[in-house]
Amino acid sequence: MKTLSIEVNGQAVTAEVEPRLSLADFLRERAGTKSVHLGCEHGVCGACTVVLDGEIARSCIALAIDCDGAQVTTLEGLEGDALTERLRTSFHEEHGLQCGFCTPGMLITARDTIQRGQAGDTQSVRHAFAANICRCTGYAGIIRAVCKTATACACDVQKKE
Amino acid sequence: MKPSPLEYYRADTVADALTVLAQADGAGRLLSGGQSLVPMLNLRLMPVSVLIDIKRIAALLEVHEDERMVRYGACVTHACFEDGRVPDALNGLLRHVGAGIAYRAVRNRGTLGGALALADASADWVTALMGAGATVTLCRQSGSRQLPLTDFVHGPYVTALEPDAEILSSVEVPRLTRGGRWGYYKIMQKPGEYASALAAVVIDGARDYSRVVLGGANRAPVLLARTARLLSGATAWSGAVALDVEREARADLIEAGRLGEPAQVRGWLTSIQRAAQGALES
Repeated sequence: MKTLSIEVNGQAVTAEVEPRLSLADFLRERAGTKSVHLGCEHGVCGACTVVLDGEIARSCIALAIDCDGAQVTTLEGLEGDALTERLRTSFHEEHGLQCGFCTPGMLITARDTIQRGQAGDTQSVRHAFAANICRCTGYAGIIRAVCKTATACACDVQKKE
Repeated sequence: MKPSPLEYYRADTVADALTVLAQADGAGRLLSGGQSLVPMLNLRLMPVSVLIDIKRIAALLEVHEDERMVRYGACVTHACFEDGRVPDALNGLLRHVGAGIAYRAVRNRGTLGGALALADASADWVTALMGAGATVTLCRQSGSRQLPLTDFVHGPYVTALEPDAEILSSVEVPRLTRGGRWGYYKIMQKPGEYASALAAVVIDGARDYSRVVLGGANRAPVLLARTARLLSGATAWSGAVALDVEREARADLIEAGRLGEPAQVRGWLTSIQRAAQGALES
């Protein structure tokens, strides 16, 4: 067992863990952030996507011990984040979710895709969302929701300029 | 799915990592990005007792360049290439390749050296950098050796690396000169998946260099020498060139003992033709 400390949504979480513990299990079981969903546990489905030291990562294929000293943001930590709130509204309006299992990972991927300026057209958004598996919606609503949010953000930027 | 119990060691220097690797006596494995290794551990496909994390070793993150080449540290991530945070020795090829590996969440952690050392048959960097004529440096406790990538990769997951005594520390990539051209094409069922066929074409007349590589197909990437010779003399893409490429590539594959099922071969030839088209139209 090793003692490690990870800053989760601004709060330091210190725990004694086995070196084989995944970051995803650390977040769910030690930090209590249950928005981190485990689907495939081998880096394919994207449901466990979180922000790790400012960049998105799959928490099921990162070891917690490898993240000792890191800063992690989960969907819980994006409460009040303007872009995330907009995405939530668009997902609601465009039927971007059904069962909701993939949604936390979808929202974190969407936020990152828009922030990096990679949501400029439907084709780019479709490519980016090959990263996250949804088995309910057929993706059409998700893609519409992300494109709609990206367009709204781009309009805001233009207005400010 | 959880890994078997294991020890974890965070190495500060290459020498430090090599010492712990030697002490692990065959049960150690180097961890860089972990984007292939940790899934394999989760699936318990690989027996590992000691993980030696090398991703924070400063020397493995360095990039050196001169007018002839760029040398990338092994732990430079795919996202660094995608974002242009490191120089691109091939005027856009490396950025294109980096941006097309798996998904952004994976590219943020996955590393160049990790991908080469694992040598999956469909690994983008293996095919692309063989096309570029790259050389890898392998560090050991008593010095280092350099190998062309073509000699380093023996087959899928099989390389010249001595697993308990060496670290792939950097990759040297010769620069494309101003008039040089490249093309890259892969065939996948969905973006980010392992490609069933992928091809890289690099033509650099000023250096008298022309290379065509076919990857995927569950085998080591294969160099297509006849196709490369043909393309070194071509000036523009046309229907006639497409047919010539198909003929020469087929001859190359026969020579290499690499003809498969017709549908599979169609995929290989198509990826080669489209990479060649990309190069000649660039």
